[in-house]
Amino acid sequence: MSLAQITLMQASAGSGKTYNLAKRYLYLLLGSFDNIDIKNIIAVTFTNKAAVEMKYRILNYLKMAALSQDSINFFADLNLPPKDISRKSLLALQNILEHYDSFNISTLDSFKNRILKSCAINMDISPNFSIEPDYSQNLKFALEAFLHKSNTSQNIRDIILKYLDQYLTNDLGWFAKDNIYNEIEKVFEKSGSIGKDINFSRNNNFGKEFYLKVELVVKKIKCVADKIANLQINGHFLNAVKKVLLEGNRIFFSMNIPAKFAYQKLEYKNNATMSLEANILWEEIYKDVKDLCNFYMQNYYQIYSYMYHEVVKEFDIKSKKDAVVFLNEINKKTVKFFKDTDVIIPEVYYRLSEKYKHFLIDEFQDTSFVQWVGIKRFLDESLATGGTLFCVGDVKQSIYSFRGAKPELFYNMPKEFSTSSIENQHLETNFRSSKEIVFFNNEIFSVDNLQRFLNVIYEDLGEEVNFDKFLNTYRFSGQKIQDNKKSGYVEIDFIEKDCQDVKEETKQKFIKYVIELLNRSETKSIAVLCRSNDEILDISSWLLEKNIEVESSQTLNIKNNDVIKQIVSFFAFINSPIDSLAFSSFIIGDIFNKVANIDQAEFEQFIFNNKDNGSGFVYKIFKDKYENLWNEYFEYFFVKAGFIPVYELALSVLEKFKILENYPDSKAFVMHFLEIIKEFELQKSALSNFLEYFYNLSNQDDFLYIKNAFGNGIKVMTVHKSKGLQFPVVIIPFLKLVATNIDKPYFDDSKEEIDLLNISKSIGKFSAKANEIYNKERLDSLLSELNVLYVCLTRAEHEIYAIVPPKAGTSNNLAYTLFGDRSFKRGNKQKYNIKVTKNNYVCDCFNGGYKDISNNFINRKNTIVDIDDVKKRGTILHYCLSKFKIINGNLNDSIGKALEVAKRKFPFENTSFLKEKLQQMFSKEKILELFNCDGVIYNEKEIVNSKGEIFRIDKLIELDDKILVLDFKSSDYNFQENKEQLLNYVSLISEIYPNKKIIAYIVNLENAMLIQV
Amino acid sequence: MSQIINVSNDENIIDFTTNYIANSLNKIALISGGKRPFLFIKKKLANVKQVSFFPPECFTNDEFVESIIFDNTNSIKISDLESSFIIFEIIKKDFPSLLKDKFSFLSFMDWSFEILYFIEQLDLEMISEDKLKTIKANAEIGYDVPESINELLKNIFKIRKLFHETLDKTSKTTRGYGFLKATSFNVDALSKGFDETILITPFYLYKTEIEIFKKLYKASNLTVFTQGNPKEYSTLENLYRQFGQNIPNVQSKKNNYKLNIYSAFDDQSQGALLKNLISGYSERQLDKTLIIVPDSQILQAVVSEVSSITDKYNIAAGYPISKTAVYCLLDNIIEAQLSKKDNYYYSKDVIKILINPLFKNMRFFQESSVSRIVVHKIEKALKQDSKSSLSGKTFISFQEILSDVDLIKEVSFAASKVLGSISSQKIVEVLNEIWESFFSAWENVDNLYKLSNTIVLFLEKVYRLSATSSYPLNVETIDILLSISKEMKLDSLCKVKFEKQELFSLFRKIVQDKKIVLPGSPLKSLQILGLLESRNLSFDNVFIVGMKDSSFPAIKKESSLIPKDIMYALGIEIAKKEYEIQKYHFNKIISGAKNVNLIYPDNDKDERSRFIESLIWEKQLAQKDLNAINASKFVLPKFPLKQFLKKKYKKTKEIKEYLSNLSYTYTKIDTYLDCRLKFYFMYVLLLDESKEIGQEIDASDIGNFIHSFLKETFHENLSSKEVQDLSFEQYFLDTLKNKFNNCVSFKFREDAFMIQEVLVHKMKSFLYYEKTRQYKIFACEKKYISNIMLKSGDAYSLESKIDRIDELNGTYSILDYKTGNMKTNIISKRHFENLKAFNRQDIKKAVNSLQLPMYKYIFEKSTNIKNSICGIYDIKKTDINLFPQEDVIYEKCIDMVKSLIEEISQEDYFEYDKNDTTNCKTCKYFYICR
Repeated sequence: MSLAQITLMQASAGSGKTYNLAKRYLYLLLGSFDNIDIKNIIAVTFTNKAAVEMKYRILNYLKMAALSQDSINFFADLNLPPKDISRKSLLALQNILEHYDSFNISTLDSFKNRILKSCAINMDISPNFSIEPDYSQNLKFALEAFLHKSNTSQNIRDIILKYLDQYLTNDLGWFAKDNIYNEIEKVFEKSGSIGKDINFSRNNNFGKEFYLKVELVVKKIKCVADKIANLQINGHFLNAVKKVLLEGNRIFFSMNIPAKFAYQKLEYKNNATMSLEANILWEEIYKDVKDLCNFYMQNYYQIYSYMYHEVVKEFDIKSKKDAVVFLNEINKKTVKFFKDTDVIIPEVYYRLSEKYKHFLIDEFQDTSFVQWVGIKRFLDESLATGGTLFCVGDVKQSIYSFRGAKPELFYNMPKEFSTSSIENQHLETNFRSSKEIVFFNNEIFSVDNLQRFLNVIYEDLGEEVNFDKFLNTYRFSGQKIQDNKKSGYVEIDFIEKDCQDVKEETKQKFIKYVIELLNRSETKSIAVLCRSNDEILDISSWLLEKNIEVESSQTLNIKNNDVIKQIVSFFAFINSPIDSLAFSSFIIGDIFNKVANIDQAEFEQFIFNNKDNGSGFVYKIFKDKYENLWNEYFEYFFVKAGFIPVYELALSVLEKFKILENYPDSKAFVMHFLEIIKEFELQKSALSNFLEYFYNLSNQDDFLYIKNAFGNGIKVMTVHKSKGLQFPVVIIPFLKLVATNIDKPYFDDSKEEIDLLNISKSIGKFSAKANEIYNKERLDSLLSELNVLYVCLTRAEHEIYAIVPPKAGTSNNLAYTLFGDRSFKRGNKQKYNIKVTKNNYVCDCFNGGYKDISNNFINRKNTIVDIDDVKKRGTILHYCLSKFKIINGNLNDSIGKALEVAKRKFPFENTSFLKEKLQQMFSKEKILELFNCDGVIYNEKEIVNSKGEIFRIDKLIELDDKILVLDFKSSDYNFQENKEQLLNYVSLISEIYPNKKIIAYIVNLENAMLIQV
Repeated sequence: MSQIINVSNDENIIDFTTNYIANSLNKIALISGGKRPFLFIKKKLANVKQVSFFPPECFTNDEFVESIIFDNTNSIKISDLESSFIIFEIIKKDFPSLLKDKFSFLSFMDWSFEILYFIEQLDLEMISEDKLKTIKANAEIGYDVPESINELLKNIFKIRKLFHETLDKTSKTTRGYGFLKATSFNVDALSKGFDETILITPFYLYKTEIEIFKKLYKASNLTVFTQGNPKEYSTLENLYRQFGQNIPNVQSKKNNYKLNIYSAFDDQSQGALLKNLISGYSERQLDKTLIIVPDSQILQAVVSEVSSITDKYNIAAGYPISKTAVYCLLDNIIEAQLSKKDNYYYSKDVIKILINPLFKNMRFFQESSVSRIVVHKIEKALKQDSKSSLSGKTFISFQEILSDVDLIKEVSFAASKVLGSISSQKIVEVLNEIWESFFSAWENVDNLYKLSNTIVLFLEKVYRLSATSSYPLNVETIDILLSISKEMKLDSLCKVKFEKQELFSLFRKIVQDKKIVLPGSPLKSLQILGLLESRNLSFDNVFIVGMKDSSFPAIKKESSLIPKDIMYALGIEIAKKEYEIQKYHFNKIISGAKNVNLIYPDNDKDERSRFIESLIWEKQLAQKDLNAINASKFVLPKFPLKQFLKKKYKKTKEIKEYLSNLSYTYTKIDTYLDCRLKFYFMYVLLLDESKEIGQEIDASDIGNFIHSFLKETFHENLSSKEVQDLSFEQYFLDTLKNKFNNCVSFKFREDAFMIQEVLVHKMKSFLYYEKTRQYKIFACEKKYISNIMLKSGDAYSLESKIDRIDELNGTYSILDYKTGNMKTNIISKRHFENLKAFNRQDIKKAVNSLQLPMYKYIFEKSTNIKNSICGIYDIKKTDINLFPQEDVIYEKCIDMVKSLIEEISQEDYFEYDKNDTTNCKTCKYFYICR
């Protein structure tokens, strides 16, 4: 094990990252001499799944060692006698299982979440705060609240009007509010992932100041135009001036400034006479334009920053009220917590009740700056006290830069911890892919090839850019192969640049690959990697056209399932019967046609015939025409549906229309639909709300896809989803490489607070700073895209196919250049199948049979609400009587005491009626006598018969010679029934007191009558 | 004689207890953690005795202590809500710094509850302030207690003191404080007159409970049955120690149950798996089967699946009232109050209340038709395309509804048809009654007392007038809400004034976890229970579902107020205690079983329970085999992931006839071009989705607004000369302003002034542009009709409604206002030129829309005017985008129209075309298109 305090392990694709992470964890645990406990080690991963897998791995290695079955010699490097390893493993395992809460392997976010939860009091957030993923509703609310303020605050209204001035210079939509929201959302998102606040100023005069600057420049340009009118000026310069004269201020507002204003010196035609005055003026204009552009870049988003600041204030108030923290804020809040409070790490540890000494970070290249800052405080503390840090990752697989990932943290470590020893390690062997794939990637991602690639594209652009970061990323890209992985196949195919229909061509090539592959392999061994959902949609349709099974966001999306569509249509109709579209949708569907045993065409004809029925609704006409069908299938839902909770309604619909019996193939979809309803009902209720919720579930939402597919189709997924996975065969049908456009606004996070800048290529012509940022961002974006390509090309175990189109959007596809304009066909094709795991399976063999939960109530007798408290009053009176006893022969005191007890027992009930009632009762001597006798009195006495049935007697008085049984009746009762009941009591009691006489009474509480039974 | 008896783990504790008390002549009290075992004991006793008998009195631990408190003090136990309010008041007065900026009760409530919970623990565990002084650096992490935490602790001890004083003053108590007081009672009071008190397998007891039971123990009154090896559980060991007993030497027996472990992918599938596993069970076996559902979230899935194989089951967990129609109606009323602006209600919220079935089926004049008619008519009136004065209103007032005379008349007329003559006046009375109960009565509610009264009135109305009793869950909900309403009239809190938002939030918090008790038979049938409910019960077959580590064991890992180590130091080991309790009961329930089946979710987010991990390891270790036990995975049968063919729709004779008589507009042609099925649904079946009521105005509303405004200002016969006049601008802008201000939909948008700014800006640009043009407006929103002859010789009728036609020197410009985003090119030159066959997909590539050529064709043909030009008036950009003037292009477009009409009317089917998928995601026919 490395002795350095910090170990940085670069692990290229398939090189055993998780293995090494687990190894590190266990070596720390078993190999130490200073009693390292699991409580002192923390490992953070990128996803929950990875965390759980890591835990299982660790447990497994320990088990192998504890049972002395470590066939892979996992612990060999510990250099301990096998017995010791076994003993230590056993102890460690027991310790973990007993203190599982301290088995700290989690995502970074859930670690931060624990800090927030434990330190809620210091952070002034609710102790019960919940973490929510979607902040949009709250942000929208906050924006509304901010706009609302403009009714009373002139200042805010002025700000908004100034913003509108700016807004109206662009051709945007009718709803400026939407624009504000979109911008604010971007900023909110980014501020969360960077972890810094936005710099804002109360001076919001950008519009005015910019206008003045433009005026001045235009004035000068007009002036120079006069001066050069008779001079032999270079044509381009002349045109630039003319353009300003023609279009005026507008070209500055749209930043469409002629490039020649970026030239400091005015250029003349050969041998032309120069004008000193014109030259001086031109230089002034040059400086002014430069200044203008810098001003524009720096201040364009001033007003947005201010509005953002105000909206976020409202947002925070709302979040506090709702006791909610959004996923996006967790890291920022932790950073802010350390920054704003004087809390020290020992207090945080105290609150967490744990202290970490050793840190392990997985997928380190995906760690964002804000995540890093949050964890660094802990690292400082631990490294200073002999702790260690172990980071594993692969900078080449950094594909989350859009979420703030900073792979450069790998390189910055010496700067971050200058006093700690650091060791860099590289995992060199690829355990995943076959020889040809590894060699192909070694070649493509070699520094030499990349250097060549960059030279070519930047030569074309004529720009000088520093490639160090880019090349450093791939410095260690070369991998060795595992001895037993000799073969493999790679085919990269290019589409001709002059191809008329690239998509069609791609389709043909792709289908050809698939069909050829399916002669050798099963569908499930193939994965197709795409970049966007649209690509997935295309690929899925192409495969489905050929009748090939597909597992993709299209085929697994329950919204696309016909059965679900019909159920939703039925729901929509039940929710709003006037929705004829929904009703028609259901009745022409298979589900209904099948149970009704009527051909679809008949209902189509029915709808067609009744299309012009004026104000009538289709369902009404249907009801008249198909009365039996209506009564059988619709009436119940039509009348009752609204009373039934959505989940229960769904069960009833499934049963009534025999959906699972008739469509067993859709079972997975139906079950997932129920799961979605269940999730919905955790938050809300009512059919109308459910429909709104369901309609709004976006196709981007993972929740819509069934995840229990048996794995029998070709998998079509995005590259980002494929990260960490591997497949026997991978096809990349649209292999593209292109730098993406720089986002607006640009977030300059180099200072304490983020500056929002307006950066574009055209501004870059005039502003050196903008130019520098622009170039840097373009190169970073290219690197990020190259990383995506790296991830794509390293997923395959045996074969990889890629089709390279000439264009990526409107830009040239740089993959051409990367591959040196060469197509590839290497290696040998073989037959591959996915290994079947040893799992035992329990296969579902039921279809339907669901029952609504209200079936549980069928046998419940009482469905009447005690709206007038009649029953309640009876209960109170019963209780009061059970507590009544004559005290010192004083009836009033006795009543008073009983009342007091009843009031205490039923503090929320009205007990005012009791006094009169008791007085009325005890005015009857006979009743009073019964309450005043000397025997042993039992109130509310339980009696159990020989069958185990339980009865409760209101009052039972045991006298020397007899037993008195009293049954209180407070409201209307059936004398005969009651008599029988009492006689039953008498018979039961006689079994207990065989030698005593038993007398039973009914005490009518309404009229204070005593009836002996 | 007091004693502790250790009962073997595999012995049925019910049987043991029954045998123990069967022949006793003592007056016995039984105490157990839950009530359920008592039913079994009584049943077993009946079996033994075979005659009637008085059973022993039975108490849960809490009931026992609380009955002692009740009998021996005058105090009333108050709710946690009231307690936390008292704490809030104390803090506000004496420790304001703790509040930070949370000055309202609601904003501090969560913390107030935390403090209350902590104080309750201090009371239950009898922690004195002196104990605080002994807390030093005893945390495992090895640091001293930070000063800030120390300070907080001191404050809480002071708050506790003041809290107790307040309770004493008002003769109130809490659970913890009551328990604390009970420790000082003498043994006579504690024994409650019983000769023997039997504690059935207690596990964790609070210090206060131990003190009480110790007194009984000393008085030779107490018998304790324990189960489990005290050496394995520190809690159990501690129990012996507390009673001064030696730890017995209990031999842990080998477990004899058969263990199976399963995984499924989500809650529903866990339920389905369970169903498959018990499907072969006989009724007798089901009687001996327990399903433990540790997390109520999965209950619904379990019940729904299990219910398909047996209806004889008993569920301990309740059904949340929040899912019922009654609660939903109440919630909708609250929503309507919160979104109300001035006297106007958000139409969408009004409709949500009205269409709630409880409302819709209310009986007025002994009949539910009136309310249905009212709902139906108001719903219809609010629809955007209705002719009512309420049409499309985002916000409405009651006065507006009443002022819609036609609406009232319509309701009265429709109601009369059902019920005989009902005057408009009567209808107004009904409406008033409705409005009062569901809207007005809620407007001035500002404290819990008033809220409680309003809710009661509302529930009474709903109960008496609606069909509540037709669904049992609604009946139960009303019952629960009625009792909550009573409890809301708390002494100290009920008159405190709240902002409406706060008040309703508070109410929602009060009711959010309320559940309906589901009926069932606890003695017989399949038992579906939580872990704690299964205490002291034994079953042959035990199933546990939802075994993910976060819910089984369910332990609060973080402690927001007082750090865990401090709690330990004080003697309050909540997390440790919770874990041990769950572990103990888990082990107990499985060791008493013959078959144990554990089910966990296997997915991306959950981790299986540590209890499973431990059991697996136990097996592996015992058999020295890593494959000693493997989890079985639940799978659904394979299902095809192939394409389902979309339906095609036959053009029957009638449909073809209809199509040949149809009048074709450009929207119909464009729709057909977009998608053939869309055309079929929209123009053949005439199916259209109704626009949602109260929807916020969108771009199409702006479009309508501008069209209508321009029709009014740029009207027929207006000449450019008039437009250029200075006064026109004034008129133009005044009209715009008036029209805008009179539009209620704009009025209640917070960004109305922004929309107005944008509108003024764009309309000014429009006006300036118009001033540069020369024309006289020939027609405005005028309808033209014509026909077109196909190759076959058949003529088809065409129609159009043209926004504007300008005339200048005999040249006519046909203009169509567009307010949305526009494609810059009306035709795609490349595709247009390459167009050979007139098939739909190629036409689609060549033209964006056939609107302009069709306008030109219809206009020229119907007026005999030639040489018109046409264009799209881009209002956003203030520009006119002209259709190419080359005749050849125009003619080719008309040929396209002909070809499309021919295709529409001649082909045999309306079919799906895979090339049309671009707009499927947003298509309104998404659900019908299958």
